[in-house]
Amino acid sequence: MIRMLGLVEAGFPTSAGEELLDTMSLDEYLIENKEATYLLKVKGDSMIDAGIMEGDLVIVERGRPARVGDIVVAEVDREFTLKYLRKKGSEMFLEAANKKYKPIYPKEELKILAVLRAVIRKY
Amino acid sequence: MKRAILHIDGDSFFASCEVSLNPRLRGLPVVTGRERGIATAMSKEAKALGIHRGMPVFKIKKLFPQVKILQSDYGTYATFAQRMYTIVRRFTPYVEEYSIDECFADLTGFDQLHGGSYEQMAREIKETLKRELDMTFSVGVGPTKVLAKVASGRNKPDGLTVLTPDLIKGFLRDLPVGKVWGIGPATSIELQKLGVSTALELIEKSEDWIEANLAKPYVVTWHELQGNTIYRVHPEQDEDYKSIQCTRTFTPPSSDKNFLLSELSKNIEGDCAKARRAKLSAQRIYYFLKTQEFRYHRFEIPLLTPLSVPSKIMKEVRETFDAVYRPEVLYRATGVTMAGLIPNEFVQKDLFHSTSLLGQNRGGVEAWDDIFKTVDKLDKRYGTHTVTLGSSLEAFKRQGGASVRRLKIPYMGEVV
Repeated sequence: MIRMLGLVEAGFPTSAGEELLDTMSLDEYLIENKEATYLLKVKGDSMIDAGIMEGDLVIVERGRPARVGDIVVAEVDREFTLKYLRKKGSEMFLEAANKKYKPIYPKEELKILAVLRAVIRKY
Repeated sequence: MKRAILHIDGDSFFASCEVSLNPRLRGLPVVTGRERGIATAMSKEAKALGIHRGMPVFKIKKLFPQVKILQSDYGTYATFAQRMYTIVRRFTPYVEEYSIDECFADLTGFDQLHGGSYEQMAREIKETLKRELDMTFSVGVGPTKVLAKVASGRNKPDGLTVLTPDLIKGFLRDLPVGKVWGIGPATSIELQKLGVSTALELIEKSEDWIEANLAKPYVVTWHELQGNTIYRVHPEQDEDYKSIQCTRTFTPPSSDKNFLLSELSKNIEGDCAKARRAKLSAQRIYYFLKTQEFRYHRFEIPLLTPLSVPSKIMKEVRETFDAVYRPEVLYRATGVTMAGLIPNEFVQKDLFHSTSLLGQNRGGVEAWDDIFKTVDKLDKRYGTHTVTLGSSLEAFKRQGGASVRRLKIPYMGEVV
């Protein structure tokens, strides 16, 4: 359990509110369906424009229907890949958040394993 | 169906956990057990090659060099097992954690939430497990545990078999008697000599015939195969206030008899403290040893005189311990349940201060009651476990601080 100290504005400096609001559990905050939750570590910079960097831990949920626009974990060529799920016409494809990377159009069926729920970064 | 019992069996469970976390393994022959030198689980692709449980690793390497042979990762398998139990508990609170890859659940009455169909309910459970864990399960439903277990064994992998009463006979006609849960190879051969080779032929015998020709546990099997419920589903998280349970997992696992007894002693003290607070006494005691492979070995002690005195209960446990304990097995947890709880004022003061079923003398119970009243006062004043039984000391010594329940999340490796 971690004690909440209130909101911190990221724009202008303010004195962080010292009033104790409540306690919260990070597990509960980050995770909705415990049994369907998995962790992965991010490699590479393909999602950098979505604020996801190399070395970040991502919390993903299996069994949750993926909607267009979600960031998903898909299986491509026997590897996990983290990308935006996009749709062109009736065709689903994966798109990186970095112009260096080309969109991935699946050769056969697109296998989506999980949906991104949270990103954790330690400094 | 009077009762609806569900049995769930994870297909190639250890191998499936590995594949669930590593897509590079999907569709390949995968075997676990490298560290033990024998196959402990095989993916269906490995089974198709003819690899079976217990096959030596060197032999697999030589015959099938393409097979991925992995070290077992029991921590991960246990996490997946916990997830399996928890998912099933969304549908019914009565879930028995039978082993690391199997559980039983009592669905009776809960079908109303699923369109009045146990088959529909079982299918929903199976699909949820598959969706969230990314592996398949074989599922059986029947009016008893034995029937549920034989049903789940029918269509492996990824099967769903529901044995309604009208289907039982037809099903048992095709079932070799040796495939029935609890009937081993020796008994199976014995039965064949007596002209019984299918489960149907077994249930068509009279109860007298079974009693005359087989050991006592098979009478229960015979009843269960007919659809008469004898075995109950034992939920680990018993919400029922008619019973109290204390259990603790310890690391590393141990086969030290004295240590295990002291863990049980500590479990008993915990149970009895709760019972005294609620002013209840137990008519039955169950205790179990849980092996490293998540098998439970249980023992039940009926008490003629209800008790909530830990030293008395410990004595009964000590005297029956050798019936459950195997020195060569590593155990990871113990637990004690006090069941059939009744309010203390209903406990009859026996005129002759007589006995429990195991011949224990109740003499002096009143004196013990006074002692534990004092113990409770001390605990209240100075904190719990201020005074404990000597038999629990070993367990307290090894405990090492309060344990924090951590959420375990499987790590799937890197994502690009």
